[in-house]
Amino acid sequence: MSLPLPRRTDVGLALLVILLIGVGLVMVFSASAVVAHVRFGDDYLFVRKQFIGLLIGLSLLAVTANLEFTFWRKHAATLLITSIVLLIATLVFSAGEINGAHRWINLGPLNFQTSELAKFAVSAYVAAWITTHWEKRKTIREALLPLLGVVGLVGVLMLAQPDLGTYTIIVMPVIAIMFVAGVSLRQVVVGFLALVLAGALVLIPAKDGENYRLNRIKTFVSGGNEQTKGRDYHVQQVELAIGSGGWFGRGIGKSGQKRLFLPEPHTDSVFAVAVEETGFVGGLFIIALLVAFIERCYRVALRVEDRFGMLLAVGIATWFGYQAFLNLAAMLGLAPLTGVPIPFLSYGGTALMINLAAFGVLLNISRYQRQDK
Amino acid sequence: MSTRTSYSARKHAAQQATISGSEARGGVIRLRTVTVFWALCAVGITARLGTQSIRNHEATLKEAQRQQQVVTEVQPRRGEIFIQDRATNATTVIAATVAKYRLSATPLDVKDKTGYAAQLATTFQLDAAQLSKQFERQSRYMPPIITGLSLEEVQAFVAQVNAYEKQKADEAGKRFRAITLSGDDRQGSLRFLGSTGLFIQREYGRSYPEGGMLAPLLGFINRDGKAQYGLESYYDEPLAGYSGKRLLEKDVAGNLLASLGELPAKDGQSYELTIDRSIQFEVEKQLREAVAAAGSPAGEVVVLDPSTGAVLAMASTPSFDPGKYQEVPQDQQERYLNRTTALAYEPGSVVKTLTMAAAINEGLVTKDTRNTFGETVQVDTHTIHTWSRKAFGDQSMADVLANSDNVAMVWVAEKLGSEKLDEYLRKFNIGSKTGIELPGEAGGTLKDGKKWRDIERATIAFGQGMTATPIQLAAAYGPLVNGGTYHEPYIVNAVIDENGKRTVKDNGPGEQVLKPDTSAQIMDMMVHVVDKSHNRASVAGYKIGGKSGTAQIAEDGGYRDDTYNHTFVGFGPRENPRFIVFTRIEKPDIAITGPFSERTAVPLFQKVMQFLLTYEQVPRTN
Repeated sequence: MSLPLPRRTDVGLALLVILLIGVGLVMVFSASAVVAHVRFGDDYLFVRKQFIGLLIGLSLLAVTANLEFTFWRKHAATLLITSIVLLIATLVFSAGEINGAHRWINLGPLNFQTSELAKFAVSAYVAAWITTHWEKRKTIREALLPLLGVVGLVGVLMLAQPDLGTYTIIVMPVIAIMFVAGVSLRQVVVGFLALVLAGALVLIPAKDGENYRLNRIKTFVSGGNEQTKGRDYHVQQVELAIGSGGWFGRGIGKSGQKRLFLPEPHTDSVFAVAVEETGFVGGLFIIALLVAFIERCYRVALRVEDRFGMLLAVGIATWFGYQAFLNLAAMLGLAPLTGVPIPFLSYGGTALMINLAAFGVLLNISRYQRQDK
Repeated sequence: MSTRTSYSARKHAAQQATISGSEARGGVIRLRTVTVFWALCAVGITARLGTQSIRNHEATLKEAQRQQQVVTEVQPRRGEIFIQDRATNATTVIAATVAKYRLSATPLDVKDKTGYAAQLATTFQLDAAQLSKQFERQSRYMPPIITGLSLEEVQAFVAQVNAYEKQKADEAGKRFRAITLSGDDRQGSLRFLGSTGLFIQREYGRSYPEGGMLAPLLGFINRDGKAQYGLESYYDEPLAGYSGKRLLEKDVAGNLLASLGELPAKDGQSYELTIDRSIQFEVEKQLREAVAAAGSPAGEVVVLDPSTGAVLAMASTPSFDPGKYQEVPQDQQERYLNRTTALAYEPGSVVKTLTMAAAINEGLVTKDTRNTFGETVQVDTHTIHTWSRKAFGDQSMADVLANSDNVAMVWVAEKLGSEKLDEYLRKFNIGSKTGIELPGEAGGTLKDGKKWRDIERATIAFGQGMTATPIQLAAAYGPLVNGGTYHEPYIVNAVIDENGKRTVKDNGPGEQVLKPDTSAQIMDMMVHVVDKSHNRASVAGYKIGGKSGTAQIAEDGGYRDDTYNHTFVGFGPRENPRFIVFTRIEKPDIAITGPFSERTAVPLFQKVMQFLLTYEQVPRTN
């Protein structure tokens, strides 16, 4: 092994995540209490589940943060195959339809969202592939096509669930990894277009009028005229929530929109609830927190003295960054709603577990940073 | 491919993988590009957040609140009406406020539409198919499924729904969670049956636990919730209180959550009457029997406490049951009238006592003043006869009353003069409303004394050419038997406010209108009347006084020979008068009763007085 000796973990990065999770728990509680009460008669249900996810996630983090990250290069293929098997299993043994999609399999007390694991696996695999085939990374046949193939395979399984949002979350880190690795920009763009095209296939409605994804995108593209506004209730409710916020919001716990006017106040729409309750100032704080966090994640990539470590860090950072910004953009009417949660902030047990595990990998990579001059 | 890759990965794992200088520079530039890209995104997002959250904030918040909040009306609880129950030294409710519930549903929120339609149909004997059709409508509203349920009935239904849900859960192998009634009455009047989509709405209703007792005094609440007739109508506003408004948070399903603000409702106040339950019961019973026995269509009884003007019983027939007011046929609406206060009539000879009291009080006569009177007297162009068409000759004023001598009364009235007679009658409150707490009171008619012709003075002196209501006559006898004080008659003893605070009404000391000696003389004279002429009014062991009146009923400008009003107003016992009892039998069948009150109003008076003295355990004096 030619890695330098491990140094100190990036403590600042860890603190940022702790802050994000703290803010997240508060917001999840505030946003979910009514839903939990009305649907399950238990105000703390979602907070408790989130807390279980947090405990499991921290255990996973304890492992991944202390496991030399090269492990993931060695076992990238195994991990990817495992994810693919799980994705197929999800289609076959679905834990039931939630919001029109099969995304979960039942693992005892928790439903496990298999696509969360796939996010990490694909990044790790692509980073490993490019590191291994470093000299040939700019060729189409030896680099672009195989990678498109792998991503395409996972993509098809994801689209079959169907989960368009997560699909783009898998694609974006791959593009970032390829870009940072120095694959030609033209190839990256072509690859990107090809994958977007694949994604577009899912938008062709199976039956007329039953495709809410297409509707959401139509709502978004048309800029919300009266006709389409009626079509997408969710978009309208998010707008009302954010507009209710003003400068300082209506006060913590005082969101009116979370009373199920927002269909998913604690997952997709937690940011909208946060802005309604804490206003522009609170929203800005969350954005600043996320920006600081993402910048710090990329800084790990910037400083690591290992090629695979750098690419994997780029993948993880892009994953977190893209997912966060996709959610915020959707909340603010800048992107279609895809049901993507904000990492560490939104409700989602599996997501929090896998996010923490992946973050552990990132922390481990951070131990191999060059020292600041 | 995957296998090959992992093989390759392993093979290259040991290879040089650290980053060279030039490669690092390229990587740094590209990484910086990526971070700059995200930074730009963050700027864009922030700018957008600013416009979305701050611009149009007011309007958006208002629009959001329109869907998040709802104003509900908080219905006040109507006050109740109580009567005395001297037997137990307590009060008892006669017009009670009961909470009833209407069961309804928000069709969009009913999940198990056919299941619930079936449950409702079996419990309340409804049409399941029609219900489930209503549930299928894409609507938030449907007409109430059933109204007038008690809370117990609602809870029984909840229990049944739970049994049904449990069975469903067991069959599906799911965990059963019991449905409960949400919240309480504080959130307006709505309560939800868990998340079933069904809800109940409270509505206050009236119940009259004593049935038709006191109905003409009480009035009733009609099906639109409006107070009609009686005390219900007279004190409708204070009884009703006023409704409040409550601003409530609601969720998307319309469930009402926390209260954001409230304009509180004020519950109505309750009234405690002077009426005694046992006396009223007996009076109504005796009146019914007397009216039936006389073949009469109507009659009234009023029992007053002469020392205060408190009405102890007030009955009139025909009557109705306020809980079933709608059973009264359309052409018999006059049944709703309180005949003791709303209808004035020519009372006849009972007014003679009042005229005589005025003359005694003016010092013009005493009970022992004697004179000789003929069979007739000429006034203006009219000839006035004695009722018996024979002269009573030499007699005292006491005998004048006992004989009910019209000719003698003309003489007394002449001594008194129109203005004095008018003045006294008005002191006794003849000619104007008594102010009793009932709607539609009639004041009777009494022309201004200054404008009386002699014949008018003459007839008014014995109760014709003027009208009065039973309550006026009963109250007018007050000063005659209580030492000379006129008290306004009243039926409300105390008011109980919405917080349960009871305030006894102060009706003032009354107005001294006669000298005590006048009262003493006129009482002796009335006792003499009973002793000499109305033995049927006497009660063994007591000195009872009174005066009858038999008046032909004026119709079409003349008097008819066959229709009379039989009245008796009396008091007892002489030593310490406790009761004034007014009785009247309208249009008795004279083929059965004869033309005089001796067999109608008088025995009715006697029975009532007998009961009162016994019931109140008044010591015997004779």
